[in-house]
Amino acid sequence: MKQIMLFLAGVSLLLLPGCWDQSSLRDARLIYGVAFDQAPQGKVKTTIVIRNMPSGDRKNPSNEVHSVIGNTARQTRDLLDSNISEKLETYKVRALLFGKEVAKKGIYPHLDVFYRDPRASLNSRIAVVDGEASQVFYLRRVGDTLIAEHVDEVLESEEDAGILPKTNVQSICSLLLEPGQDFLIPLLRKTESEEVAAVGTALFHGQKWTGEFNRKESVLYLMLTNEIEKKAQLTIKIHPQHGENPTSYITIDMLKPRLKREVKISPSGGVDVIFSGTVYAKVVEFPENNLTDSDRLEQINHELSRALTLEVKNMLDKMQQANCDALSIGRHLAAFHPEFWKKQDWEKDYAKVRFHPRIKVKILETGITY
Amino acid sequence: MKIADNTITQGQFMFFILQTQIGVGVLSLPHQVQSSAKGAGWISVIIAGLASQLIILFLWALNKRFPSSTIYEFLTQLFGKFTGTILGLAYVSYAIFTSADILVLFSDIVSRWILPATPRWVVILIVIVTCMYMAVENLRNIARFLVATSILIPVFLALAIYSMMVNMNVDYIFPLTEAGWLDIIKGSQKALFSMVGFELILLAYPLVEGNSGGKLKAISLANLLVTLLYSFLTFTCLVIFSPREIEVIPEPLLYMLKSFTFNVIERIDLIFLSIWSVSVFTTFISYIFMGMMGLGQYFHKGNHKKAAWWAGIICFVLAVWAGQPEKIRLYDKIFSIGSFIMIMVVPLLLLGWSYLFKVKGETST
Amino acid sequence: MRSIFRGRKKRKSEPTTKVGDTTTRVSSSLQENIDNINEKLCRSQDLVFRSIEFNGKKGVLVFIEPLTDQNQVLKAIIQPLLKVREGKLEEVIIANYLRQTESFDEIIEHLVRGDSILLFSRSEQAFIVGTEATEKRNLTEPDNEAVVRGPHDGLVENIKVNLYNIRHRIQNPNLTVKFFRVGAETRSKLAMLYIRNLAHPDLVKEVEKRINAIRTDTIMSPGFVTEFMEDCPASPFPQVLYTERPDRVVSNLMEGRIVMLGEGDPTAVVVPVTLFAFYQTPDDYHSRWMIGSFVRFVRLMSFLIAFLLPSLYIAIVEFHPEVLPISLIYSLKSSIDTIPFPAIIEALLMELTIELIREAGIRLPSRVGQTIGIVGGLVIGDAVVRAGLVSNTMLIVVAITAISSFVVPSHELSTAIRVMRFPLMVAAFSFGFFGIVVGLIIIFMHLVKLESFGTPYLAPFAPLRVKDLKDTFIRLPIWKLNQRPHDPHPQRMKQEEPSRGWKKDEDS
Repeated sequence: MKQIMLFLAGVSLLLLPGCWDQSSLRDARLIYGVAFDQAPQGKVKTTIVIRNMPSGDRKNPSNEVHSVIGNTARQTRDLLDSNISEKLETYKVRALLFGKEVAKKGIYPHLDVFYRDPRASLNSRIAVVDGEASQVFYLRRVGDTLIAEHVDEVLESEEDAGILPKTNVQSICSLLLEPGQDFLIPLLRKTESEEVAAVGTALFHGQKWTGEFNRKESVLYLMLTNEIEKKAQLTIKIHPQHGENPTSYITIDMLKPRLKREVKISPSGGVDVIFSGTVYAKVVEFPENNLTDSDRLEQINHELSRALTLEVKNMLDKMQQANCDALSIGRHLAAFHPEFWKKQDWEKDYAKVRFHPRIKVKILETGITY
Repeated sequence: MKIADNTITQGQFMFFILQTQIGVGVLSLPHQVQSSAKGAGWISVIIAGLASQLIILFLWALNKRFPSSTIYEFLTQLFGKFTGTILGLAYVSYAIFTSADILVLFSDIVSRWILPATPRWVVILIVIVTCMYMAVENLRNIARFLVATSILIPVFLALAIYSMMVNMNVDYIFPLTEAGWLDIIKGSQKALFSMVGFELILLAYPLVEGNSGGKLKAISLANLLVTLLYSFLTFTCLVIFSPREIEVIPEPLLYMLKSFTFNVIERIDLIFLSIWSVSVFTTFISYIFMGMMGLGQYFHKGNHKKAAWWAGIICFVLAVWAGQPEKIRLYDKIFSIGSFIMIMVVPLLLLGWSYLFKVKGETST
Repeated sequence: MRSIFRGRKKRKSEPTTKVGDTTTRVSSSLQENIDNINEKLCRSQDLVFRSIEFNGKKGVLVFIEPLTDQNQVLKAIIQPLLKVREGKLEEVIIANYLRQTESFDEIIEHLVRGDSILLFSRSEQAFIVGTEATEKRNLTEPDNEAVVRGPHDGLVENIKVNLYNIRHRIQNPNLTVKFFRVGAETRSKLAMLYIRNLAHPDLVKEVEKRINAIRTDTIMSPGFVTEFMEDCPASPFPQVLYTERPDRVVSNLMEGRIVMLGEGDPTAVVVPVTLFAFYQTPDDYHSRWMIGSFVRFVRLMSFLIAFLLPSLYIAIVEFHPEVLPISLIYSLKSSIDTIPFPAIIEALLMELTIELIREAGIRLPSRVGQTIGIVGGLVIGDAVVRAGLVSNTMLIVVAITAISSFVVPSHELSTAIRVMRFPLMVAAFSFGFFGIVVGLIIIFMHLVKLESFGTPYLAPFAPLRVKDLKDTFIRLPIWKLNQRPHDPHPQRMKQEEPSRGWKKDEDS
C-alpha cells in the first residue's frame, strides 16, 4: 500500500504543472554573433546579430542587427532583450568580436558573463576587429552569406588552413587567468570593398592587445607551437637578388611541421629558447622552375632554411616587443624551474629571453613536375 | 526475512561498494584537492586511496570477528542491549545524515547547472521517492541494480579520455610538489571524504557469500578501481585547466565537457550530468538502506521496509533545510567530522574492545 | 505493490459446488439414470438417447450430438453391438477409450467432453466410450509470428494436435505432459509440458502450485491463467511469453522452461521468461549468426528508440536546445516556430493519432484497413503539418517511434513500451533531461525488481552473467552456445559438446 502511495506521490509530482525551467526553442531568439565596442565614458556598446529563420516556404534566412550602450555586457543584453520580441538566448553564439579599443583596454570583463552562465556557449569563436567591431556586423551580408555566418566561416577556414590559431571562449580562459602565458586572437578587418578579411592575429598580453601579426607571421607562430594539424602554406622570398619579380619567390606546403623546443637557463641567469627541427615541405609553386637535379634541390633547401629561420626570428622579435608570451615560456619556467621563476620579473625579463630558431627545411615533394 | 534470499555474491559486493563510493563528490573533487595540493592533486587522491585501504583493513578485521552479524547486531553483542542500541543509532544517524548531505550537494549542483528555477525541494523529493522505491528491497535486488548501472562508469572514463586528448597541457601539473607534502596530505584528506562508502562493509559483510579473504579482495578491488578512476579524472582536469582557472571552477569535470562539440551533439556536460545523477542515486540508495536497516532492526523487528517513511521524511527535512551556502558548508563540516569518527575512530575502538575483552561472534555456518 | 493484490487473492476458499453432488452413483434403474442425466444437463435438446440391446439387456446409448464424432459412434458402438449382440462388452466395442464406472459425476463429465455413455438396465455400471469429435483447422503459420525461413506451421485451437506437434519435434521420453482442469464451471483443459530431466523440480512445483490455486468459474484462454499466475500484475511488462509457434515452444522446453497449453486456444504460455526473450525470434537462428546478431542488435536499439525518442525530443526542444549543433538548431527552430502548442501536446496528439490508426486498422477487415493506413498516414500527416498544428520534425519523431515499437516481435511488449513512453514524455516535459533520467531509473528499478516465476526479469543482465550474454544482445554461432541459459535454472547446463572437432583434425 505504501508503495502505491509513493508511486502516486511520484506521479502527481511529475504531473505538477511545474516546468519551472522551461525555455522553449520556440520562444527563443538565437544570437549568432556578438560584438563589443568601446563607448564614451567607459561604457560598452554591444552589437548582436540574430538570425531569423522564416518558416514554411523555403525563404532565405535573414539577419537582424541591434546595438545598445550600457555599463556591462550583461546589462546591455538585458537592455536588448527588452527591445526585442521573445527571449534572447546566447547558447548558440558562433562569433564573438572585440573592437580594437576594447581589446586595448582588456577583454576579460566582457567575457565574464560567458564563463559564469551555465547555458552560454563556450565554443564560440573569438576575433578582434581592427577598427570598430560593430561595423563588421552592420555589413549584414557579404555576397550571399549572412554576416555572422560569414565571419564564422572565414575564421574556420583559416584555422583549417593553418593560418589562424584555434581560439574559442574556453581555450583562452586558461591563458587569460594564468601568469606567464599569453595568447593570440584572430584579427579581422573590414576592407574597402565592404568585405571582411582575416588579416592576421592580434597579440595579447594579459588581457590587453599589445601588437599584431600578419598572416605569414601567424603561420610561423603556429609552426613553432606545433599547432598546424595538416599543412600550412608559406610563400618565401629566396632570391632577393631577383628583385620584385615572381621568380624570387617559392611557395611551399609545410607538412605537419613538428619542432622541438628547449628552454635553457644560462649560468649568467639568461633564458635561451631553442627551436630546432626539420620542416618537411612540398613545393607548390616555384616560378623559376629548376628543381631537376638533387644538388639544386639541396641548395634550395639550404636557402629556404636560412630564409625561414630569419623570418621566424623577426616574428619572435615582434612578439617580444609586444611583450606577448604566447609561447608560454614563463609558464614553462614556473613549472620546471620554480626557483628561477620566483626571482624573475616577467613583465621586464621576458624581453630579455633569447630565441634561437634553428629550423631546417627539406623538400620532399615537388608536385607532379620537377 | 530469510537470510538465504538476501545474500549477494562477491562480484555484486564489489560493485555495491564501488557504486557507493562513486557519488556526489566526483564532480568537485579536482577543484577540492587542487585548492590545497595544487598540481599534485592526483597524488593526493592516490594517497587517499591508500588511506581508505587501511581503513578498509580495520573494518574488515572488525567484521571478521563477527562473521554473521551486521554492525547493528554485533554492537549489541559487544556492549549489551542499551549501549549497543545507542551506538547503533549513532550509525543510523550517520547514514541518514550522509544521505541528506548527498541530497544537499546534488540538488545544489543540479540547480546551478540545469534546473536553476526549479525549487530545490522538488529535486530532493524526486530523488528520495525514486530511491525509496529501490531501497525498500532486499540487499540482493539492490546489488543487482547497482551492478547493472555500473555500465555507465566506462562512459565517465571515455568522456574524460576524449576531452584529455583534445586539449591538454601537462605543464600545468608542474612543479609537482609546489604545494609541499603537507598540503598534499591535506588534499588527500579532502579526497578521502569523497571516497567513503566502503563503510557499507559493516552492514553487508555477513550477507556476502564466500570466505573472508574473498570479501576483502572484493572490497579492495572496488577501492582500487575508485582510486584509479578518481585520480585519473583529477589528473585530466589538472592538465586541462590552468591552476588559476581551476581555482574559480567548483565543478571542473563538468566545465571541461561544456565546451566540447561532437558533430551531432553539443553540451556534453548535460549528458554527463544525467549519467552522473545515476551514480548519485546509487550512493543515496546504499546509505539510506544502511539507515533503514538500522531503524528496522531497532524499531520494526528487522523489517526495514517499515522505516522507509520516516527515514525519507527525516532526510527530506534535513536536506531542504540546508538551502544556503553557509549551511551547505556546515553540513560538509559535520559530515567530515562525523565520518571521521564513525568510520575511523569508532571501528578502531570497537576492534580494540573486541580483542581486549575477547568478544567474538559465532562463526557463520 | 504486490501487497494489495495479495489481499484480493486471499478470499475465502468456498467449497466449489461440484456437478452432481446429490446423485453420486449410477442407479440400477435405467429410467432413473436417464432422468438424472436429463436433469443434470438441463434437458438440453442436443442430448441423444438411443436404445440398444446387449446380452439381452435393455440399454441406452447417450451422447451429446454436436460434440461426438458420429462416424465413430456408428462404427465403434452401434455397428458392433448390432452385429454381435452378446459377449463381453469390452471385446465388442472397438474404441481407443473404454472405461467402466459407477460414478455418476464421471459420466456427466465425459458426456460434456464428447464421449458416449452406455447404460444398461439393472446395472450400476456405466461404460464410457471415447467418441470425442476433433474439429481442427489447418496448421497454418501464425500471422503475428511469421518468419522468413523456418517451419511454417503453427499451434491450433486443439490441444491434442498441439501436443502431437510438439511431441513430434521432441521425440524424447522425458517430455512430460500433465493435464489440469481449471475453471469450476468451464472445466477447461490445461496442459503443462516440461522436460523432466531439464526443468528444475522447484520450478515445476511452483507452477503446479499456482495452477492448482486457481479458483474461478471461467477460464477463457491462457491469458486468464497468466493473470492468475504471474508475479506482479501491476507491471506493464509481460511476464510470460506467448507464442503460437511450435518450434519456439520446443526450443524453450529444451532450455528447461515450462510450457502451458490451453484447450481452445492456439497460444502457448512459456514461463519463466526474461525481457530479452521478447526480442528473440526464430529468424535469428535461421540466418547466419553475424546477420542474426546484427538484426537482433537493431531490434534492441529499436527498444531504446521507441522508449526514448519522443521524450528526448521534448526535453531538447523545451529545455535544452543548446545540445543541438548550430546547423540543426535553425532548421528545427524554423519548423516549430509557428506551432501553437508546446511539444508535449504535439507529441501526445500525434502519438494518440497513431494509436487510433493502429487500433482502427486491426478492427477493420483487412481491405478497409489499408484505406485507414492511407488516410491516417498520408492524409492526416500531410494536412496536420500544412495546417501548422504539428511540426515536421515532430512527425518524423513520432513516425520513427511508431515503427520502432512495431519492430518488437512480441505484441505484449510492444504495447508495454508504447504505454510506458507517455509517463516518460511527461517527465521530460517537466524536468528535461533530469526528468528522463529519473523516469528511466524508475523503470529500470522496476525491471530489476521484477521476477518471473523466481527468475530475475533482466537476467542475464541484472544479475549479470557474462556467459549468457552470448545469446542476449547478439547471437554467437550455435556451437559457441554450448551451455543453456542459466535463468530457468535447468538441471543440466551443457547443451552441446564440441561439434566442430573435425575442423581441428583437418587443420593439423
